This record gives sequence, C-alpha cells and structure tokens, in this order.
Amino acid sequence: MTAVSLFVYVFLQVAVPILIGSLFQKVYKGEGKLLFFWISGHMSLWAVFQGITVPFVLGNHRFKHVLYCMGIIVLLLLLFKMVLFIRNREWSGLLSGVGGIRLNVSQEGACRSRIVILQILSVILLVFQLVMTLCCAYEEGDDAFYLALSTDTWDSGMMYAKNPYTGSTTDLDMRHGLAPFPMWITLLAKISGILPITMAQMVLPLTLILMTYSIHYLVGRHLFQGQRESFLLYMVLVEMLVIFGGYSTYSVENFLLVRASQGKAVLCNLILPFLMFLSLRLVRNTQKGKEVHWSYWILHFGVCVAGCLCSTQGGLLICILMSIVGLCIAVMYRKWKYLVLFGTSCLIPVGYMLVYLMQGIA
Amino acid sequence: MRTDYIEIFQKFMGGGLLVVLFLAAVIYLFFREKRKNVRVLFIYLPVILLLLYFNPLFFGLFERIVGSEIYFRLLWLLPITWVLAYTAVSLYQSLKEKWKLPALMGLLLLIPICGRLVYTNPLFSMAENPYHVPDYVVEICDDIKVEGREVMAVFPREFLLYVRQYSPLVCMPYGRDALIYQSNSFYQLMESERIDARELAGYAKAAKCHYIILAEEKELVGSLLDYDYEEFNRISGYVIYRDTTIYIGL
Repeated sequence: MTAVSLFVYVFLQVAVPILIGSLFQKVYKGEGKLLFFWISGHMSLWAVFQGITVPFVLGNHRFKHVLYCMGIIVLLLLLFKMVLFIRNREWSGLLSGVGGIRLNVSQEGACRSRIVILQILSVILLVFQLVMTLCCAYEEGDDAFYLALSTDTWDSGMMYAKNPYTGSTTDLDMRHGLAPFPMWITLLAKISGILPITMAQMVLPLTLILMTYSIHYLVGRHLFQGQRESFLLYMVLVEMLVIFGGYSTYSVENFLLVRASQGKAVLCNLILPFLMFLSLRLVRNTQKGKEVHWSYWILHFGVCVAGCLCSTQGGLLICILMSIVGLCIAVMYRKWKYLVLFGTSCLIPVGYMLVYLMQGIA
Repeated sequence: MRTDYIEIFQKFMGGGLLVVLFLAAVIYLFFREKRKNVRVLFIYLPVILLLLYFNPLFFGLFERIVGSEIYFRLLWLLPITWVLAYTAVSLYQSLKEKWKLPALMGLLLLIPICGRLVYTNPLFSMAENPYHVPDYVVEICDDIKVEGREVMAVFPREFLLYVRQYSPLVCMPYGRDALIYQSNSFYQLMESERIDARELAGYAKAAKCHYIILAEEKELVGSLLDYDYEEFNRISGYVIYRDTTIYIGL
C-alpha cells in the first residue's frame, strides 16, 4: 500500500462522493452539510454501482465492463456537477458545509468544562474505535466467503464464477450475485491499487465507521439543534453504546465493529439509519408545512437501491421501514401522496426481491 | 416452531439489559416526547415493528419465503442506540445544574454495566499484518504459490477461513463449508488425532492436491514420503509436503 494508493483511495472515497453528494444540496441545509454530501454521494455511487453491476453479473460478463461503465458514469456526474458549479457559482454552498463540523471550544456559562470533557471524550472514543479497527483482527467466518469473492474477481476478472471457499468453478450464485457489495470492494481495490483483503480488513472499515458516525452526527444535530452540550453528550453516549454493543452477535453495533465491510453491516449501520434520518427530516418538514425538494425523492430512491447492493434481504427491510414510516406520515398529516412516493422508492428493492424469490422457486 | 421468534429475540437481546432499557425508553418517550418527527421514528416505528415481529402469521410467512435464520434482521429496524442516547440526554436536560456532572459520570458507567465491550470477544486478536490473517497463512501461501497458475493444497482447520481471502491462486479441496457441515471425510481425516499417511495420500491425490500442509506435531501413521511426496518446506510449525507426481511448472 503506497502513498499514491492511499491518495487515490482518499480521492475516491472523500472528494468524489462529496462532489456528487452536493447535487442534493437542496435536501439538507443544516449543520454538517459536508457530511451530508459525503453520505449522499456514497449512496448515489452505490445505487449507480448496483444498477450497473447486477446485469453484468447475471450476464456472466467480466468485471472490467463494470469498471468502465462506472468510470464513465462517475465522470459524467462530476462533469455535470462542475457545469452546475460554474453556471450557478455554487462554491459558497459547498464550502459553507465545512463550518458545520468545526469543533468550537469557546462556550458560554457553567457548562463549559462539561462541554470540553465531552468534546475530548467523543474524539477519544472515535479514535479508539479506529485504532482498534486497524490493530485488531477478528476471526469472522463470513469473510471467508465475501472477501474471497472480492479477491477472486480482482485476480481473474470474472464475477461470481468461482466457489469462494475452494476456488473451483461454479454456477452463478443468484442470492449473492444480486447484492454484489464484494464487487464494490474489488472496484476500490482495482482503482486504488490496494489489495482487496487490505481494503476490506483495514482501509474500508475506517471509512465506513466514519460514515456511520457522520449519520449519527446528522441525527444528533437534528435532535439537539443549537444545544451543544446535549448534542455532544448524545454523541458520546452513541459511541459508548456502539463500543459496548457486544451484548449480542446480532446487534447492529457488533456488526459495525466486527465486520464493517460486509454488505449486511453496511445495510444496518448506514443504509437503514440514513433512511431513518431522511424520514426524520421529511416528517419535520411536513409538520412545518414545507414541501421537500424533488431531489429528496431522487436521493431517497437512490438509497433504497443502494440498500439492495448490500444485501438481498435489504430490499425487504427497506420496504418494511418505508411502509411503517409512510403509513405514519399519511395517517398523521393526511399526506397520502407520500405513500405513493415511498412505494415508488421501493419498486427496485421489490423487483430484486422478486427476482431472488423466483430464482429460488425455479 | 412458532416460539422460534421468541428465541431469536432472546439471542438478539443477549445480556438483555440494553434492550430492556430501550423498551423502557420507548414507553418514557411515549408519555413525554412532543415532537412528532421524533415520535414517528422513536415510538411508532419500534412499536409497529415489534407487533409485526411477534406476529406468528408474519413469522410464518417470513419463514416460508425467506427462512427463519435471518429473521433477527428485522430487529435492525429498531433504533436502539438513538432511542437510548436521546432518552438519556432528555433526562439529563431536565436535571438541575449541580446534578449534571454526577449524572454524566453515572451515564458513562451505566453503559459498560448494561452492555458488553465488543473487543472482549475471544475471536479478537492483535493483527499480525495488514491483511488481518495469521502470518503463517501469508508465509505458506506465498511459499507454495506459482505465478500464473493455481495450485491445490489441503490445509488444517485453522487455515480454512483465511487462505482464499489472501491468495486467489491457492485452491483447496474444501473450505469453510467443511467447518459448517462437518460431513466432509477428507476434512475429518485431516482433523483426526492420528492420520494414516496412506489414506491421506489417497484423498489428496483424488482431489489433485499439489500440496499437503500439516502441523509438525500432527501424528502420522506411516510416511507421506512413501507415497510420492517430498518435504517441500517447513514454515512456522507446519510441514509442507509436495506431490512429486504432479507437474506444477516449477
């Protein structure tokens, strides 16, 4: 892993998603806009990747076709964003997002010492998790499947053509082929030059953990707007609950720290929480009588598709979540059109589920 | 069985305290929380979801279509961490100034008591390399690989999770599936306390293994050298035997 590889990786995982995510700047104007762009950009990239990769997997095509298509689409998106930047002079909109995550020590009143303690604690807890991710290995059985898939594709250029356990050739595994998150790891590995195993075990988990806490940050800002001490306490408690989430091997927190780069961990720590965050914003806007910008629904749709990248059952969980939230909003505010919009977002996940179930029946 | 979903929920609860606190927090928020957007996500969503989860009809349908082994994933829709943190902060906000610091300390102590540190899991260990696989896996895979082609090798159990993660050029006659199903007779022979060399050679040649890797202390009845194997190398407490009858381009 060279400095150039790391630079390319940081560019791919930070700059590119932020630029693409800033296409959704009308969706969120609160503090932490840069983090919102970062997460939205990732969701968009995952949605595009899912749309491109599954047909190639089902058609037994080589991975390089995915690479080329993804490259072209990302370049087009970046170009589109550049045109918007130049035309609308949107530099200030992007840069104003930086201020939202600045740590500010100058505070009022008697709570200043508590705020300083909480700020230091929140940083220490986050750094602790990142260091443990770098330094600790976990004997995770599912990695023998998913990482081997990434490594095989990275080496051979074929997708889902080999049994990951043995290396022998095999028929397409539909269940996993419809949720090709390991191919995303291969894509990052190919472009950055970092080995897939290093990518999945060390590099990508750091990014995913930071993304997860970005979502926690956004939710915290939403819940405790303008209340710095409460927000910081919330973040510290969330970090503590994650670190002490080993009470069950099934818990979301355990998945984050033990198997961060598996699709199902991304589903439960990123996709579902981000959908919940978007729902929080939607309900609040609805309560205030504000209509959400149409790009909200594009992003919403993209996140639902991104969920299918992570897990074949992701579609089911997304549909259940959207059904419950959509029903609540429709009943509470008589906004029946939201049911239609939520339902439209769920069309692709339902489609993937049907393909999966039909293959099982066949 | 219809009580499967209860067992699954109990496994999800693990030690139990945090999930119980979560349910208590939902009840607290039901009576105290006024903001509707928070009520939708932190009260209505968990309640409706749990009603769905514990519905035997829903469970039956889910089990028939998807299978019960992943039913616990429905519980990922419970925003446990957010509800607990939000409720704790809400209670904290209602305290007088002089009680805030003790309450803060109390909260920070309560979570470790009710939860469990993820890193105390015995499956965690210090990473020996950037690949997070044991060094002996890296050393042996690098030693036996042949550039430009795949090789087949049979390994002891402790290698099975790691070989194919690290090296796409090293294939195995069985992998983690043998650990799960325990019905592979080649695997069972490799893991037995005493291995008959002739039987092992038979299995390995049938699987077209170029290499057999055994722990140095593994008791062999007979010698693999009598069956067209040579001792290729010794690394990190393991002996690598190579089948001399198969050409591998060396």
